Amino acid sequence: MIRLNNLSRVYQSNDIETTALDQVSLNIEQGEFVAIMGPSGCGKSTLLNILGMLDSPSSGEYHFLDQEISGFSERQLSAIRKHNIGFIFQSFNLVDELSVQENIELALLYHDIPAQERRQRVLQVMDKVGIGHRANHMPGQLSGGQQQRVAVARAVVGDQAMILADEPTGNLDSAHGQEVMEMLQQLNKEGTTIVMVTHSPAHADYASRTVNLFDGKVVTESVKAA
Amino acid sequence: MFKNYLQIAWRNLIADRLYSSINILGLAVGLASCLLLFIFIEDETSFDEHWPAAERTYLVQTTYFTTGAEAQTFDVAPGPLKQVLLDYFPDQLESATRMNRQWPIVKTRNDIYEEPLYFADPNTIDILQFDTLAGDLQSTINDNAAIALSEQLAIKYFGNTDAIGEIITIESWGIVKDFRVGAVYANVAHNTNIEGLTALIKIVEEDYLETQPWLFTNWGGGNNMTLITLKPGANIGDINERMEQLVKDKVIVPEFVQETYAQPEDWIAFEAIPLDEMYINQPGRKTNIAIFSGIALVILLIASINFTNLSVARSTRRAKEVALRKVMGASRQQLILQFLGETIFITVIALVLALMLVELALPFYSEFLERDLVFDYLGVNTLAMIGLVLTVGILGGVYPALVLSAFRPARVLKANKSAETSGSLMLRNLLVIAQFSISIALIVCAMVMFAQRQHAMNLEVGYDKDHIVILHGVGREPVAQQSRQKLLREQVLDLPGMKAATYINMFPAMATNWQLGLSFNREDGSQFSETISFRNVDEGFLDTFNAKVITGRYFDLNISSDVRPDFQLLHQNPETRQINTMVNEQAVAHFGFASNEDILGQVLEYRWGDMTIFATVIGVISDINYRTVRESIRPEVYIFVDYGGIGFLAVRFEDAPQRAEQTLLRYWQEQVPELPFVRTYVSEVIERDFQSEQKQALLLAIASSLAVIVSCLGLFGLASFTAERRFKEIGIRKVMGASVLDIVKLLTWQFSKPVLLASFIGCAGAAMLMLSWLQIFPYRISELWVLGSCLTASLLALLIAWLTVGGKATKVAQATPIKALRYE
Repeated sequence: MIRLNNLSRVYQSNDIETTALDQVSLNIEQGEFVAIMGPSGCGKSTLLNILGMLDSPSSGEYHFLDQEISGFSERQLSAIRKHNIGFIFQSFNLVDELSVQENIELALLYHDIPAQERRQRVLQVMDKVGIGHRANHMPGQLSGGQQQRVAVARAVVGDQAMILADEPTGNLDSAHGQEVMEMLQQLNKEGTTIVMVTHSPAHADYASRTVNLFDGKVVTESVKAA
Repeated sequence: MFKNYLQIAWRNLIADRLYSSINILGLAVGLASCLLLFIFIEDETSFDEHWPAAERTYLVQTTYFTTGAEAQTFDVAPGPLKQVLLDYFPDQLESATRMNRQWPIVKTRNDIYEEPLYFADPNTIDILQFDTLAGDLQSTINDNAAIALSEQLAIKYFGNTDAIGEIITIESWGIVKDFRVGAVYANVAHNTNIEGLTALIKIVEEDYLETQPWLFTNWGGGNNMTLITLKPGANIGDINERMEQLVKDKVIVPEFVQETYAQPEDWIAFEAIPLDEMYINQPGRKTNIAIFSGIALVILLIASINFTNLSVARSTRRAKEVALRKVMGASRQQLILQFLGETIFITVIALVLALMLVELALPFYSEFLERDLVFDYLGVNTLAMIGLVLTVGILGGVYPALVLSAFRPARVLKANKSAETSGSLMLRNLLVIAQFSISIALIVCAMVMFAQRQHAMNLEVGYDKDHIVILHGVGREPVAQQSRQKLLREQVLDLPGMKAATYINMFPAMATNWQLGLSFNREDGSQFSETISFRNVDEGFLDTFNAKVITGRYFDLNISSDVRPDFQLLHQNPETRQINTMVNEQAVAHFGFASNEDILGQVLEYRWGDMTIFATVIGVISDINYRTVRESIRPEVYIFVDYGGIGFLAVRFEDAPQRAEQTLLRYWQEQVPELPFVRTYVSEVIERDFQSEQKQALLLAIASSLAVIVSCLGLFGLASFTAERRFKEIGIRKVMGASVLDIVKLLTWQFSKPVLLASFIGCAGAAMLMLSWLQIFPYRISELWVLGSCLTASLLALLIAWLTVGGKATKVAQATPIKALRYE
């Protein structure tokens, strides 16, 4: 599904050059659950952003579903992203002014789906993640765990093939963190590819493969025995 | 502490360069516009206040009572009144003077002019004030053979102000005299009712005793502007109260009205009015001032709204600072003072910029208004500026100051984010709505005023206004005689390209109106009695003004009763007081006749001084809009005259105006070299008639443009702020697949809603105002125009808002979303 060849990302600010990713090569197959680990500043989030097409590599190749996309325009990237990738963030990134239902619907708003169908799918996914009873609440009225459930619902409502999760449990207590991880595991079992950045070895254990980064390079890869 | 406040204020200004620039620039434009309008209003209300004893100087008005007609009041008085006043009120009056404006022929070494000049009593220069540039004004105004010229006239006649000793020949009222230039004085300020103070010559009553005694020495005339200055402490009310007795005691009823008015008080009355209030009391002036004051306030309001709005928006980002200050022990009062101080500080910067803008704009503004306007930094203006700074500064700062100072520090610090409240959001929306409502209303008003002006100027007046030129001077010697006027008309008609010509006493397209008392007995025995407009016409009237005889016949020079006899003959021989007359279609209806035919043969009685003329209607002339198009066509009666002494010749030509003018100029220079060639086009008169509306409309257009610019500056600031505030949301939406266009649409729609609501409010208000304003015009644009203007203004406002917000929205939408999502 994803093939990275010698991919690098260099940030330039004033006279300082920072290499966030250095010649990274990585393959992710459809249906995999990959955890990316490493210390702070090692390039985990940069890698995730590039995988999610929210950021562009400075050099190297990025093949997504057999298409080399590093030269694609913003419009093309946006089209691929909205049909294939869902996002879950550490800080939930819900729109404070929209209700739970509206926040989830946001993921379908740009898909040319009729309103009736949108509502239907939102109701289904809310039930699935157990947040249906909070449909009309605003994000500020929910607990962290509930907010992340909404974020998960938003990530999957469009039937995306892949979910990118950036420390999805980072802002949650252990009970809520486990809940979210189980949800992700269930989604993976249903066929969704998941790439997750995490600091927690326990949560990385839910993944089928763990990629360790250090100073922008892939240092180790470990595959969990089936 | 104060230093810390100032430091924070300054750093905030610098840190938020965009907001600071928008805030200061918008406010400066608003303040500058307000100051410019204030300068105009100050000028309008300053007329004749600059004379040495302005508060004690009065002008004596004369009212003439006419049997069967409305009394008419004039700003001039008979010649003997001045001395009578001085003798009658010795304890109250300090001085009195007469100023007699005449339009003589002026001959200098090189040229010949028709020029309005003042013949005045010597103490005029004590009551009014003149700055002498050369010569001796005091001795000149006391010299029977000297003239004092203004700088402007000296330059016109002699090329510079060094004109002392030059000789000028002046021909007025048949008297030709040479005058030596004895003094040159600085041009008189424009803000006076005493128009055209360009030259002063001493009144020498003896010169006119023989030929024109009515000018200065008897009560028969009335064309001296008479000014009086009261002694300190004297009461004008007492003087006015005793005026009727003065008339009874002193006025001698002239012979020509003695038959009608046995007592002078039945014929004439006097009243002294403050000179410095004359201008402002003219019809429409106060309304004008109210309109311009309104516009000034509106612009200031828009600028203040802008300022408040941006201050509110910006202040929400300073919640953390406020919380920390509170933690450190700042009281609410101290915080309120800090924020108010900051807005006042910004207002002062904006004011300095505004003053620079005013100074830059003033020369163009003065030229546009045809006035010498200056901005006096002292006196009332200083107070006004301090008032402006405090009002705007406090208005802009009070809401953010109150809201921010009330924050609970723990909550703000814990949330660690901006303190945007639904209250401030709603207030900002309300302010945007108010701002755009006013701007849209101003645009609608400006558009309707322009359209009405164009409509009036292009109105079908019934004659070919672009091809009629009026020649001046034909009422003067040597062409004033009956035979010479007749010959002149014939010769003009023989010139190539000239189609028709008629002598007229009143310009077309002007409000001037000659009236007479008209009465007749209706068939049912009741009497019709009213003051009616009349016009002297000659053989060329119909052809020149494309008028047609609808019923009956036109006047005929060969029928003696068609021609109005000479005034003296009418007076001497009552039998000559039977003449024929014509009326227009309006008059037929107004007099109550069912058809044009019915009025034929009707005898109308015209009151003429103390005489009654019996005029039989011989025909009806089609309606033409001879007078100003501000008024609907009025009922008119026509009297036929057989040349002699009429002031102007209207000539209809078929060529291009320049070519016709050349032909007429050549003819004039050959045939009438004694008189200057002075001409006026009717189209010019119409344009002049609408000049004030044109300028008002233009000023309104400029004001509305400024209002829109200031509003848009504010909108841009708010759009930037909103885009920033919604940065995270935009990032999320982009991650969810929103395109740049989706984001731009989202943000522009957010700002379209208040602008659409403002369109509705602004249009409704302006439409009501304009529909009622249009009622004053008899010929007005259709109501659909107002609707069209409303739609156009709304679309324009929306378009401008979209462009303003769209640019910022596009920029934000193009930013990479991770920036928004990375930091929370």
